Amino acid sequence: MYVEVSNVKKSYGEGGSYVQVLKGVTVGVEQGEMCVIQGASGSGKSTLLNCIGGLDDIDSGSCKVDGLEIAGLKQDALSDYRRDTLGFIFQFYNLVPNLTVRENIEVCRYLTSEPLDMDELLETLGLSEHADKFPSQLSGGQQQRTAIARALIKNPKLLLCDEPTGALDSNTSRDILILLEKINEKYGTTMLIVTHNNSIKDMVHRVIYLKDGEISREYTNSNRIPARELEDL
Amino acid sequence: MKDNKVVVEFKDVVKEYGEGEGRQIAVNHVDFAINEGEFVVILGQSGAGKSTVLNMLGGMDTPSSGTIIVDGKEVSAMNDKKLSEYRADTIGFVFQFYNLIPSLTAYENVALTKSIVKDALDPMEMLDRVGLKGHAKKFPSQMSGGEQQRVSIARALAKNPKIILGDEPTGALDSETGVTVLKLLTEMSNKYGNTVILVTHNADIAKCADKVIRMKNGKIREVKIDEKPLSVEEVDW
Amino acid sequence: MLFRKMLREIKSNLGQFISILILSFLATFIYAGFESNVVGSGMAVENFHKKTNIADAWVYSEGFTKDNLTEVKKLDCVEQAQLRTELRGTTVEYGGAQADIYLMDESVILKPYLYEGEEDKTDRLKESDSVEFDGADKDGVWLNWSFANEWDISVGDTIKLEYNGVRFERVVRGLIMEPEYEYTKAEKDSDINFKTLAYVYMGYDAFPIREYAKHQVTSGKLDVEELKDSEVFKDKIAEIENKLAEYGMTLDDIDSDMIMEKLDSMSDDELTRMIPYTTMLVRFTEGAKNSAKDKIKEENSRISVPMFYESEISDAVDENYAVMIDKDSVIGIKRIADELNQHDSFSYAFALIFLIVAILVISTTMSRLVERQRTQIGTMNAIGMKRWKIAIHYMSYSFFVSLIGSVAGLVMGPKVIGELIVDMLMEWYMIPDVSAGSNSLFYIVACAVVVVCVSASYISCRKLLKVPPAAALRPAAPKKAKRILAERLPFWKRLGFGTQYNLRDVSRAPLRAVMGIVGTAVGTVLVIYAFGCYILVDDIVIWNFDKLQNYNYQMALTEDKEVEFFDELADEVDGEMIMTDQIEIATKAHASSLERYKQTLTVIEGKGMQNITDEKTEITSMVPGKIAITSRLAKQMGVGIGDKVYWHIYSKNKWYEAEIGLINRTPETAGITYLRKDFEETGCEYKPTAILTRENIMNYKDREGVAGVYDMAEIKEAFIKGYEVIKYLFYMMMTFSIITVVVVLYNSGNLSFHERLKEFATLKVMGLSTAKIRRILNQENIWFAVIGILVGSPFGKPSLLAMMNSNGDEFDYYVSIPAYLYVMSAVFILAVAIAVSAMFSKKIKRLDMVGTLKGLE
Repeated sequence: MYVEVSNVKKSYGEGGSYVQVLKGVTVGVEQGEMCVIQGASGSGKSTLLNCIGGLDDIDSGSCKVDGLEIAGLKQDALSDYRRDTLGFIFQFYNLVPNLTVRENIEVCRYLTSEPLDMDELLETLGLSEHADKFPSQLSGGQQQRTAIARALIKNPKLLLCDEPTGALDSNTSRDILILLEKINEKYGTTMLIVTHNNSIKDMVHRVIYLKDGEISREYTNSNRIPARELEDL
Repeated sequence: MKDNKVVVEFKDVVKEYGEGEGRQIAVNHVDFAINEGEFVVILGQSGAGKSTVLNMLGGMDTPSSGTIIVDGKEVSAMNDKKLSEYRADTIGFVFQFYNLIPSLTAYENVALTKSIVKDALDPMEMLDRVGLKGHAKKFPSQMSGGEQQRVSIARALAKNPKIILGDEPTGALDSETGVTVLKLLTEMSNKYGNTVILVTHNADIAKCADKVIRMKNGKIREVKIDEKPLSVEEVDW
Repeated sequence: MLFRKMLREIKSNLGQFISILILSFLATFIYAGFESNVVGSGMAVENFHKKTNIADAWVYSEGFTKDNLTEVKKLDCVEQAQLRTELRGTTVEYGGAQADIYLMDESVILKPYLYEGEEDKTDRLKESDSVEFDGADKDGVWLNWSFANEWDISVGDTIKLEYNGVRFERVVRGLIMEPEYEYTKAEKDSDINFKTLAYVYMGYDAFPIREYAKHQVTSGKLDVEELKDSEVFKDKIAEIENKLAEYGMTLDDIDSDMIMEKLDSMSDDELTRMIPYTTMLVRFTEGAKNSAKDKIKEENSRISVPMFYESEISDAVDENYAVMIDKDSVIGIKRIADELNQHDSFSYAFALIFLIVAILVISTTMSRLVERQRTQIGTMNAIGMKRWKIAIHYMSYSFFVSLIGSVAGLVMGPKVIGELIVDMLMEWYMIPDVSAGSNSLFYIVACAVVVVCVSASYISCRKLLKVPPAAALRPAAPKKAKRILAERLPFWKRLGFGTQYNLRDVSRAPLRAVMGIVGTAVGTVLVIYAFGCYILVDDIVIWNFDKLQNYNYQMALTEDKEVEFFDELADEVDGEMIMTDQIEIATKAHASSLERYKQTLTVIEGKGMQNITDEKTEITSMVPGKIAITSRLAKQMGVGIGDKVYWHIYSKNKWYEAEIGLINRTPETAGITYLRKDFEETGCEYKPTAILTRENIMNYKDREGVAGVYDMAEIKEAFIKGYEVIKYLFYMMMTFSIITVVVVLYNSGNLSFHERLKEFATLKVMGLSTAKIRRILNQENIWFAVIGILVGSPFGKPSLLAMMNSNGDEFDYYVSIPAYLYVMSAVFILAVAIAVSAMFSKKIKRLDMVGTLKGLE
């Protein structure tokens, strides 16, 4: 298993506002797989993603990524882990407003010793003509593509996506998903996609359902639909 | 059948941005009319121009050319001061991200309309209408997304506006909560006779509308009038 | 490329970062400017003292003997010692200026410094012919440069001097400067006036001793009894006595012819012994000074190093002395030291004030900036950027800005303010070769300013950087609103929406409120200070010239006539006589030198020309039989009405007791005042120094007994001119005040605006008019201004008085700032606050509702 989550528990708050978001989650993802983590609002799916990404501390349990135990690592070690292994894509892109497209991607390029080629990546993502624009001058789709370029330039082994198409209309959403599919095929990047959209699961290898902080169902997709055929995005 | 007098008129409205190479036409010669009491959905993809239309309707932006008449007033020709008054008296706005004032309670957020219009409706009554009477003393940070949106609707209603505008009002909500909010909005039109105009890319919402204006690339593709729109419960979300 | 991000963000927050630049600039500018003068002047003074071989101690006596000198020189701790005689005369021409005459055989200590004048001054004064002091020169005197410059006297010219009725003319051999006269003030003047004070160095041989002796005899000034006692004439009188006895006559039958005969037979040298050595100058060895320093530290004593050896000196001269002082008691030297100290405190105080305001502005700006970039920080963290790198990025904002400001201030301070102050000061103080200087402390302070600014930045970001990325990443960071205290007020509900909204906003951002209030408080203090400066001058002029000195003309008197002579003269011009002298005063007789205060004695006749004013500057009258003592001195000594004090004339040994009947106050003189009747009863010799009158006595110049005549109108004019520099202070303070208030309120408004940008956009969409939104935004600033005014007002007057009185112990200024000036200051600050508010109306009008509400950050 590339990603091994064992009995992970996570809670927030104290006293009256105490809530246990993850109640003991055990799940595994193979290298090179695309995986959807689906669930209703409040099911804990974003939290699970954050924990795997080292963005939040795990209360108890174990989480191994490529053999490295995440649980219990200090902030600086987690920072290194994120730098070396992960790429992130957020629902609201989270680009730096005062940097151009190129500069936003460069922020990540300096974090690795073997980056992908900048111009090739811009080309692949259809951003070449927008390279010197600021995020405020781009449409939602273009911004998300910039964010994807930023995540990819590090050539990460694991890509974590939190509602990547949540703020986009269905056509743009489809484009993004096609892109992710292409990357997965070309680079073999393992992907974890958190979403509440019901259609995306049809294109991925593994599907995990979270309900009230626990895995309610998981299966492997035997009949994957290519991204371009997805509807109701 | 909502066949009352025309309350909104767009006549050959154009909106352009930027200049030279960066010139974009967001709204490209758009004409339509909306009657009083109608529940209207302006449908389109991202970049279709629907938000721009809504912004001009709401007096937050002025057209590059063309005329916009709302409730007999020529909005497109108003200056900053008159637009302020227009927004105060005629429009109630519901945002995608609620935009409540975080440092005011639910009641206070609705009550601030009293500083804006002379005869604002009673805030408690409005909170009751949206089913949040018990939440009056809570701050936005203490409420869920759906509750915040409902407070925002109460705030819009308290002004007793002629027209209620909504920009992706259910966009940030999960389907269950979205349904509750939508029910409220359709109630405004069906039960209380307000004119409600929503902008969205969610085609399901359009199924509840009296009139659907489809936009693509800044132009109107189609205006569909539905005599018998579905009720919110009847739609399969 | 994070550097580019920083540059762009600084540009979009230009107002704020320019404020930080201005504040860090002002802090170093003022510091370096004032300190460059302190350092430069300080060094020049030190050099001057070294070149002139300044004394460590001055010992005064009614008459030292050569043996005294020998004994003192024998002491281990003494390196050098020298005797001299100090006489007070006048110049014959040049308006009868005060002429301090110094007689000496050799100049070893306090050697005069031959001054050539400025580069661009007329070269008549360029002394290629000047010669070093020569005690054997019979015809030459060395005159002070400042007097020569005023009256256009060159080397080689002659000068006529008069001492106690004897006139003599000598050639000017050189023009000099001397540390005891760094600060030059004639006794009758209230402030520096180079025209009225001359001092000369000359040899005993140059003194017209024969004419003087003859004059003393013929004017009846020499008492036979005194002659009999004096060393010099003892034998001669004995001879006359014997001669008379031969004729059956006694000393009572002696007449001046007989004495004159004897005088003629005496040699110049013998006669010269009539002139007493009044002063001994002493220099101690390095070793003695060092060991004294150590012992003083051990004993935890407050005594100064030279005074430590007083008992040794006292023993060496067999107690034949009245007083011993060190250079801290020589006003000519102390005055500039005090002034430099004042500038020193001033520079640190102001730099600190601006630095504090800078810290407040930086903290609020950076907190706000970092808070707004919450998701960016979370993202950068998520991507894998190390936290310290992110921290450095944000610290770099204030680093670059404060670095530029600080360096600019460091460079421009000395050039602009430093040179200006040095030039101004050197118009008044006589010290050669002064220029603005600097030392390594400057660089340290400039670095400190930058470090402080960067640290403030760091501290503002620290909290957010510690947050785990997941928490930082939530897109619309929910602001926790909470109940505030004001809500419990019964009338909370009746407050308008704007007021409620702002109260909640302020309680959410207390640091910003502190900044706003502190800034306007500082501005208020500065404005009141400025107004106070302005009226201070007028107030002092009235106090000094209308109330205290209620006369039009002053006649300075010579020392060679009897009191009765002057009484007649006074009657003639319908005047009041006044005596002033230097005394030492203490709470017990023969107190140790630490407990003595060197101040002024004034004896008035109570005729209403030289008046006494109480602590509130109202004219009052003396209590018969008792003395008046000035209030600041009384406080220092810990005495009050009914207490007894002890005093002695500076150069004389006898102490007298007096009871305090009144506390009075003068702006620039401290000491005690006697009524003539009471003074004469003490037994101390009444020697009037001036007659004050309202009649025009300018033509009395050449009368006998008159040393000089002065028109008070002229003196008043000179006095006012001397205070003109205060008007510059006024403009400076007003400028700083405006800058501070504008910077602080602009930042506060800006922060408030940006913090609530989305909310204001929402309100605008909802239909709130631009005017109403502007009123809401500006309400906070007006609150801060009002509170700041209330907080700052009480500090205005005390800070002004503190600065004025730090000039020296004898200063005791009184300023009453009328209520209307406080009101004017408040109005001024409010006006500035409102002007700042106007800066925001454009921002609100142009607020892009669509763009703002779309922006998700």
